[in-house]
Amino acid sequence: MTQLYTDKNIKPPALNQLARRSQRNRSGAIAFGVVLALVLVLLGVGFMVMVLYMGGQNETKNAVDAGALNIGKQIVDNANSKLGLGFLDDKERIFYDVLADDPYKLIPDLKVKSSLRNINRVWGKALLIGINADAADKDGHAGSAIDNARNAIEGAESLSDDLQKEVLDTSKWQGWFNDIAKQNSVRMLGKDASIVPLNANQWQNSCMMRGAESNIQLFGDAPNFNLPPGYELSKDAYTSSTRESKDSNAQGKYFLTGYTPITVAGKTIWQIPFPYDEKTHLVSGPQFMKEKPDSEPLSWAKPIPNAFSAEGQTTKPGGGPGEHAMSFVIANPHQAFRLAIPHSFLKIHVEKPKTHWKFLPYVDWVEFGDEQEYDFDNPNQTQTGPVMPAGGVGCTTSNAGTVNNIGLDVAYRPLDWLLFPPEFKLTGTDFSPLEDIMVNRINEMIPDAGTPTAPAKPLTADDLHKCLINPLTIAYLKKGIQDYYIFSKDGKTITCQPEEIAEVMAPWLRTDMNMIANDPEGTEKKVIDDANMPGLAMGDDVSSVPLEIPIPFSNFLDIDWSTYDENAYWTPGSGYNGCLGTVRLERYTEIHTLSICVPL
Amino acid sequence: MRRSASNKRSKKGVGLIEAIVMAIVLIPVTLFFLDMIVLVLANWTNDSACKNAARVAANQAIFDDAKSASEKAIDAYRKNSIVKELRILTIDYDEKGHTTVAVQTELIVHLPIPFPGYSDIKFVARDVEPILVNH
Repeated sequence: MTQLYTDKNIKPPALNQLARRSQRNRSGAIAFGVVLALVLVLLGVGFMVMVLYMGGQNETKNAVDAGALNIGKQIVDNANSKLGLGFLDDKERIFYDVLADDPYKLIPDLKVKSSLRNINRVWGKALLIGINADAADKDGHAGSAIDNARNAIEGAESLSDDLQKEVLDTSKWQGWFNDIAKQNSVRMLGKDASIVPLNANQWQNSCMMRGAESNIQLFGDAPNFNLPPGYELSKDAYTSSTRESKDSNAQGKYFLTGYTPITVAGKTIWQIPFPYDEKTHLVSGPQFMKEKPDSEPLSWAKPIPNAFSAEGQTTKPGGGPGEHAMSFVIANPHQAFRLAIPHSFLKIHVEKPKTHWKFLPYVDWVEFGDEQEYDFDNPNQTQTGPVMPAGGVGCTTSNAGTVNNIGLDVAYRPLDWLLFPPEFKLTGTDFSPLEDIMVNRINEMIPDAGTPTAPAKPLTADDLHKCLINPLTIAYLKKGIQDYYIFSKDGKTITCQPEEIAEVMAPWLRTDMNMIANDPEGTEKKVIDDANMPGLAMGDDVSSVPLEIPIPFSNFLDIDWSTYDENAYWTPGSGYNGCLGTVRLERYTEIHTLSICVPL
Repeated sequence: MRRSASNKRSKKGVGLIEAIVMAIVLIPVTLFFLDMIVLVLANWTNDSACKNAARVAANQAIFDDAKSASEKAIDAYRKNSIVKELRILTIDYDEKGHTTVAVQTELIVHLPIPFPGYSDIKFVARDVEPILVNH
């Protein structure tokens, strides 16, 4: 059926539809506006929630970072084994000087603690004892030093193993974590939100920066580093600083190598890497995981880790989703020490000066008669020499007679001029074998490495001579004191004193295992062999009796002359019992009496 | 014809009113959220600045160094027409025990579309870090 639409007001169906659609569009625009507003509100709220969530994540991460940093800080000193001195065996007891906070104080601590701060010093002392023993052994003069070095390394290992247990105790880590993490705000996750440790018994440790430097610094030039003369430290044992390019203070400095086995006296010692002048800081998680002892084992049976992880979670009183974060931190005591045995000393024993009488019976000089002592305080002493039968060529007897001017070689001299007489240098005497040994040993006494901005310097021969030239030694020698001790009373400088003064200046020489009474373990060797120069002592009545049989002889020549002489002996000590060695000095005058008689 | 023109005008008026009503709803909502975003970001910036200031202070051995280091860290954050001021309120550095350093910072943000009476908003952040250097 067909409809006709004649009236203009009567719209055909299509036009009606258009009109309805137009009305719908108008009402749809309002709906669209409302929906858009709602969507905007929803988007805005969603964005706000997301921003708050991300901010909360950031706050959680920051709080966990702070907690982890506190673990790294606290573990350096507070994960420790407390050691009562009375309960330690000698192997561990010898490490008092590197465990005590101040080993030089008047009244020693009855308890010390081993910690990450000082465990490298413990291993370092054991290493130095081993190096001294190995060096002496190479010369064939070690005595029992190698056994003692092994004992020292066993002691260090025992202390290290005890410390490892303490360091790995994660229950302590939680406390340190909470101390700081809880103080940090996580308010974006709610007003009362707070951080709590998460999976604390699964917090991990890692041995990071393998091959980097430890906090034990070596002074002097590679590869000897002021160690015993001729000793060369293995290339694997030392390294320059990994911070050389970042920190100008680290340039040119050498350290023991961390997490690298160092063999000495047939045993292995270890160091933990603590890069120079670096503070405890956060590290990358993947690197931490890669260097875990489980992932990358060390040959160290009980390694002490230097890096630690912590995990924390945000909790809200009403529950709800919380954030969690994990942080990784590498600890560093931020303090370097010198490879040293702080409680140690070098002994000098000065023999009484003596006169030796020598005659020339035929073609070679022979010593005859008792040696005679003379004093340190008189340059013009007189002695009467022996009469030697057949002591001259063609003589029945040769008589040294009375000799004057004895004592000029030792009178009024400080110890330095006795050991290293300046006038001997005129005759080309080389004192370096003795000097080098003594410079090595005085360096072994000094633990102070200074600071990055004011670094310490190795002690030199000049420091040795300054110490020995102490004018008071003239008086001590005059008094008849024969034993002198070079030691450090502050860990920075050295001094040389007789026993009575030394034990007042450094009470530890008595209180620390009465070490001043100890002798070195090695055997003696001569290092200066009859250094001499012409002397001024001279006889005024040298005489001889000529031979009568088989034919009569007549006096032809009766003269004498003298030489001032020195022998120096070195007995190496490893430092295990505190004694780094003994220098024994012999100063003497040789009177050469020459009698010649000729046939009539 | 007259009725038709009137209808047309009325339709145009309704559209305008609708647009105005929509604008009245949408524009404040949008501007409000713009302000909110600025506020959240400002708070975030303040937290971050405070954290950095505390971290650098924790790496200094004495209070004076800690103070200058944290001020330098704060200066790295540039002020602009929105962030009017960012400053350190307090530095609580435990010089004796060398345990912790707590830094408090204040950030004043100028709202891009200010509420009446609330054109500037203050944020205060506090961060605590362990001191990582020796005496």
